[in-house]
Amino acid sequence: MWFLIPIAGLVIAGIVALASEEEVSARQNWENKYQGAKDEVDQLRRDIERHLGNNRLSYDFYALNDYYYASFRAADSAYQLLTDSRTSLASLKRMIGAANQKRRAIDLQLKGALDREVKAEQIRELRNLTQFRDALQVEFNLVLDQKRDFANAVERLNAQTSNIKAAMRERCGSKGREWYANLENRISSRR
Amino acid sequence: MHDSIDKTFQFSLESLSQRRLAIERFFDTVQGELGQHHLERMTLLKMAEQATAHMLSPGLSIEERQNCKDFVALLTAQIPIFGDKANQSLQSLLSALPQVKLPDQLLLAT
Repeated sequence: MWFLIPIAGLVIAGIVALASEEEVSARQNWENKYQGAKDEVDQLRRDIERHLGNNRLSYDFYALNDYYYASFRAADSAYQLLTDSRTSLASLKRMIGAANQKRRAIDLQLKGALDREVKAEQIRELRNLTQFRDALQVEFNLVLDQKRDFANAVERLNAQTSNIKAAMRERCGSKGREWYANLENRISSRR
Repeated sequence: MHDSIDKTFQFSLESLSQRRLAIERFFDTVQGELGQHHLERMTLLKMAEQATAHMLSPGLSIEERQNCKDFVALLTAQIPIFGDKANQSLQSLLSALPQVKLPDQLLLAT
């Protein structure tokens, strides 16, 4: 029966070879499928990322657009307030100037020969005018401080609006670039 | 998956839209107030200048002059008050600016 040993060996080797072939084929099959599934998942992931990216660009566009117009309106208001402060300062300056002119006129009169009673009245008038002018100067200084604050606010808001405009162009894809170009066209056509 | 992303996106856009409307209404209100303050301030300045011119004109008694002076002082004292009110309104506008995550240089310096 010893002669059966090599035959059994051959049979086993054959079976093993067949099994290996099947295994290799199954493995290959599985690897192909795995690769296909992996490619599919990768593709899906890229699709989702692209979709999310597009949505993100769109969202940024709308959010920045809102921020731009709100910032623009705030800057516009600040500018109006700056203009009002300038108008107030000009008005106060005119009043101070008128009071000073009157003071100079009275000073000149006082240098001439005057009745004692008239002189006393003029001196009182001069004192009143000086008080009046000084009170105006106090208001003038307060408004001047406010004007500086408004000027700073305008500067800051203009810089912010300009930065948002640049961000629209750089961070919101083609939509943002188109928006920027249209805005620039509108600005240059208004000049 | 795309449907879910789109729904989230639409919801975000809807939130933005609601916020935009709220801000616009608020800005309209505050800018209306500022417009009213502007008109009042301009009227006040005109009155103060006219009262000053009258005060400095010849032929007034000391009493009349004094009354004019007090009147002008009353008017001009309101000018910085208008400025303060305007500043408060501006600050409320600034505080209502939408909060958007942006690089540092886009944030308002406080």
